[in-house]
Amino acid sequence: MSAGKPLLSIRGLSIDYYTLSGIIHAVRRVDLELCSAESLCIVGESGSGKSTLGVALSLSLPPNAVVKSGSIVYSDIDLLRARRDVINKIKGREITMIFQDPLATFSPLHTIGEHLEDIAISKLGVSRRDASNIVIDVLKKVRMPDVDRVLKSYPHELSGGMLQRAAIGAAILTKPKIIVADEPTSMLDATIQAQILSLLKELVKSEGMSLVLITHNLGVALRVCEKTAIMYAGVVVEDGGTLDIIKEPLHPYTRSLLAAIPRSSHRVSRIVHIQGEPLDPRLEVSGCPFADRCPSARGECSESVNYVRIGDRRVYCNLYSR
Amino acid sequence: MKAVDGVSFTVERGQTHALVGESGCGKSTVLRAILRLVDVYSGRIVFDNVDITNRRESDLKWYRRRVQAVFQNPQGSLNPRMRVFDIIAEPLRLHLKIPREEVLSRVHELTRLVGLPESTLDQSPQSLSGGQAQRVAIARAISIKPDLLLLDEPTSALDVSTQAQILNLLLDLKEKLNLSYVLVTHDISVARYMADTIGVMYLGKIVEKSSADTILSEPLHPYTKLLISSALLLEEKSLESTLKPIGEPPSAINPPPGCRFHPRCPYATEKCKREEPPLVTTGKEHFVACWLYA
Repeated sequence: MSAGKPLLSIRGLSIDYYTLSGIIHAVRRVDLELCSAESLCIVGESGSGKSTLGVALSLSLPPNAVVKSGSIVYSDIDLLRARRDVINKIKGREITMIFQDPLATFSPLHTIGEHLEDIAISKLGVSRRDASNIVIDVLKKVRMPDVDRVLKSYPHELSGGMLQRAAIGAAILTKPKIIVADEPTSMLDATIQAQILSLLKELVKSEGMSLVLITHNLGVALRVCEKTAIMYAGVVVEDGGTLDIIKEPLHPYTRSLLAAIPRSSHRVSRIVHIQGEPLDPRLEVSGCPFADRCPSARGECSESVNYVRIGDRRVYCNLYSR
Repeated sequence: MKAVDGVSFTVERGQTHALVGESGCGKSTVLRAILRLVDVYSGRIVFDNVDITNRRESDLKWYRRRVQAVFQNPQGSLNPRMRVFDIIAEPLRLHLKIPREEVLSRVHELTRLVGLPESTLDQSPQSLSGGQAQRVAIARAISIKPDLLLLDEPTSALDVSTQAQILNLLLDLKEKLNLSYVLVTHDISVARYMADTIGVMYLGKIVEKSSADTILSEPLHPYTKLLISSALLLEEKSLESTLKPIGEPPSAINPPPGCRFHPRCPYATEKCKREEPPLVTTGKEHFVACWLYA
């Protein structure tokens, strides 16, 4: 963790969704920090709460979401309780988002050029002529091939990879402080995915932005983010340096996640799979949500657990408490 | 448009052959051809010494009993209007003339075999998790004891942990029931974990083919190397990728002349742009289609 005040501070955040099948506890008591020019990966499987966290960070929680407790503080403002006009200055400008489905980012009725210019005009307040130059610059930054053709194209005329480049362009246009990217490459082919991830990583460095990258894939985390937080059933079970976590996972869930990934370097024994299913998100859990599937669980684990700090790492597990 | 162009491979009994490639490479079309869901323009598909390529549907009933498939999207392949019990029982009722009690005991045996809780039998597929739904699809596919199972991205839609469960289940079933698999996947580590032999496909062609070990440890074709280095593996040595990926795959409708990979290949020569390289063997059951080796 770099010295000085963090850029973004999430404290005790709990978010519920009110649905027809009950109240879903999507995010439970999350504490996380993001510093300037830092990239943080949030890794989890479906139901982990990672996407809800991403949606909260990009100020796009739907109407049926309720912030039960906690805060997200950015630039001395609690983003969850700020006034509409304050949020509108930040959303889409200082904090921008990249979605999983590139088609979801763009209106099918506008060309890429129109879409990007609109962002420049509405968020940066520039003239259409200046907007046009800014947009061309941004497309060059994301190494878009065939810039002239892309500007005049509609989203359905471009491949997934090119659309996602345009989406990254849209996200960096306003020179944001933070980009939140939710599974930005999981719908792309392997070779394209690799290109887009390395582009993201370079841009984050060269533009001095911070990145929150949400993914289910630890391989993505390893390649893009220096820090990672592992989520399970709404709880951050472990966080710290990405390489540390992969080389020496602390939480039993992280270990099981790593053990479940087929390695291609050697066809050794079986990948290990854990029995059972993820926790029903409608259940309240005061301790560790992984307790019922954990091979090392003790009696008190589902009731009471504390975060333990080990160096610059943190783990939510009784195995490490003194 | 040739979705699949000159693809050849064999699958021995009790073995798994994986077809690996990105979208548009034709791997799923190959499976559909084996299932005779698409017409074959040229070439042959031979199953257990019988050429089934052009047989009429009425002559294929025996074939359909012995070759079954499991698809990527579990919810998409299960009829939401049926109970799980009936979904699994359907092939038994259709293909075999067995009494009701036997259907009952067979379905219960299958649910145990695939690790499904008995309580799911009365439910509809929508109330199941992705992993459970895929177990239903597998139970249904193995119900009439086929010889060959075609698996089209069977775990791509599942979480990592669920994927591990399902892959291990498939490995167990292969041994228990002496099955053979043709596995289509975009994930080379899954191919490595599951398969004995791998064929790498690009724009309708097989560019490299060998044992799974060889493909991963001694890849020859530049596209195979690109695929491996793009695979976001967790091994540290793979962090320094040897190839920088360039460009996007061209349209399959208008493939480039010569070697289809040449526009993205760092080693492309003039010859590569003009002539398509043939698939040649480098000895040791390793085949590659690349002018670097021909």
